[in-house]
Amino acid sequence: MKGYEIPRYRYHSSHEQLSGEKVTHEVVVIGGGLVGLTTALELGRQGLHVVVLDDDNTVGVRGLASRGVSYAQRSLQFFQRLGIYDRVAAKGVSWSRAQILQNDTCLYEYSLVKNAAEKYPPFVNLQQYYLEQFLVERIAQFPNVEIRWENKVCNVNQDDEQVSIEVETPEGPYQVHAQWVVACDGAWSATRQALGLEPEVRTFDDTWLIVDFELKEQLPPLRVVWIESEDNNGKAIWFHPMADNVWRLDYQIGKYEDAEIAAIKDHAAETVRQVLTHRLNREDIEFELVWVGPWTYRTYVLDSLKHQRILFAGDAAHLKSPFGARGGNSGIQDAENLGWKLARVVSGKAPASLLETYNLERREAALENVRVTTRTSRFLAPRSSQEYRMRTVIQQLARSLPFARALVNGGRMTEANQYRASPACVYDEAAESFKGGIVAGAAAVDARLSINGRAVSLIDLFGVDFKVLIVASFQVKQKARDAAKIALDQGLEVLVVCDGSVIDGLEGEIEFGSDDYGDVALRYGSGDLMVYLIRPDAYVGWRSRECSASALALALKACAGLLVDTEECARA
Amino acid sequence: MPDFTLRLNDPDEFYEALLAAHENLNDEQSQLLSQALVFTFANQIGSVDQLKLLIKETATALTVE
Repeated sequence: MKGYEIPRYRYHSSHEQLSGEKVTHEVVVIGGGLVGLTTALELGRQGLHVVVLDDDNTVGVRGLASRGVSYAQRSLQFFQRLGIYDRVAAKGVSWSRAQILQNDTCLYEYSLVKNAAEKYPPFVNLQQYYLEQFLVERIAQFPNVEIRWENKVCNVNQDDEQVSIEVETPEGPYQVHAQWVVACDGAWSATRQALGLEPEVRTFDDTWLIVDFELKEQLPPLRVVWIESEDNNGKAIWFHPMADNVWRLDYQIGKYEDAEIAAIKDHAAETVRQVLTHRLNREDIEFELVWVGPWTYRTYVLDSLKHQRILFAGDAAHLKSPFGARGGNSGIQDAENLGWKLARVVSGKAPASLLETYNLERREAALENVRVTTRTSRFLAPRSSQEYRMRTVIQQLARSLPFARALVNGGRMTEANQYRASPACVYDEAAESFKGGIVAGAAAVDARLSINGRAVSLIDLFGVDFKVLIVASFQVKQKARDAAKIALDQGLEVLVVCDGSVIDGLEGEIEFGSDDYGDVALRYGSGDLMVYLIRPDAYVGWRSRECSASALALALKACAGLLVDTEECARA
Repeated sequence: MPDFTLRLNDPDEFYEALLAAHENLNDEQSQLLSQALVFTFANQIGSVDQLKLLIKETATALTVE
């Protein structure tokens, strides 16, 4: 088999190892996988001093599997802020169309493009180790972030002041100290184990086989899902493009005996040939296997993502089946949610209670992701003849009745989860009754607008500090000006999007955009004035139809974690 | 005319509720439940003219190749 070529990174002795001096780092990230590297880069971008400890010396899991594949628009927007989007887009395969099939019948085909003007595609597929490599190389440009390869965490202890980590290296053990730790050490987290945290795990016996192969010809970048395929004994098949013209055929085996798996793996090439021949309706298809491996899934969500000075993110915090690409993408969202909060707490700009909102928001998201992916896994693996009958009937109806297509569950693709009960979002009932726009607790969306005559993406203007977005029509120019003045007086960055006219006589961090495409009004609400407080993670923290100084100040306090009831959080 | 565009406000939630209702039933009990649901859903729709059209169109949909 061809296998994947992956970079190796060198082990270096660290400063405290050589000197024996005790250093307390601002943040230590345990685990240099996708989520750990993303977290470290985001924290580095926010100016923190970060050390990453990784037990391996390479990217990917011991260089074997390509693991995660699909990166969603929301993640791509974050990658832009992290400075790796261009590489991801250039190397990966953008896709937006998907087909759901039952044998040879296409039950339906859909496009994930919501707005043709959007800069970022709905999805880019890329082998995870490429993404991790880009993250490592980007981190190398930040002198305040240090990755320590071959640093295996053996034990973790904490008190009110700090976290102490016992680390094993090729040169022997040493101790690392940190104010805060982000544990991103995956599904078998050593940190979780050290703390004695055992989440309630649900196991499933539905087994699949991943077959990655290099195709010697070009096919259109299309995601194809067979709910049932006669080429796989009536079971499901996933078909995904990746970089380097490598494709992933991921097919359902169901329950199996250990002795059978070797034979199934031996037949992987035959299965690929059979599916491709059937799909393309010809025999002369050339390909080479790159990687073959079985997988199954488990689900859990930690009772709390925050344990004093240790925060859990990614698979260490929550695990789910991969349907809908909610694993890697939700871990990336954890990093996006945590980065600005941790940066503010470490620099003294916000109280530690802000970190409680990380737990509340991302745990809610994790529970939703587990619920959604478990529904898909149950659709793909019916447990009784009744469940099988329901699935058979709904697929049959989907051929001619449009409503039935919505019930065919071939994976619900990941989206930025909405935070419905967070103390770091202000739910103003009067404001939420508006028609359209984006509610507090939901992710800000992209829109095209002009700044100084140049087309830009709105989402690219968020993601550093809090920003007040004022969307106004020309008729309420004066009200927009007053709102901007109030926001500027509170030291906030302001973006006013109006239909072309500039409001003058204001000083401070203010930008003017022109809604030349009508896109901002379409997505953020039009007509009269709309005022949004956008958090540094590009979520809507508050919105209103007017901007009083007191309401804005209160919203800012809430978003900065000043109104979190820590006792209530402890009880929850 | 029956409306076969999507009207359910949360299709996945509905499917899950239906699965839950059949949980722990044997096959015969499940068939009885399915039949019982036809009667209560029909009563909720009310109009027999509508129901007759639904019966006809649904039966046709089951035979589409």
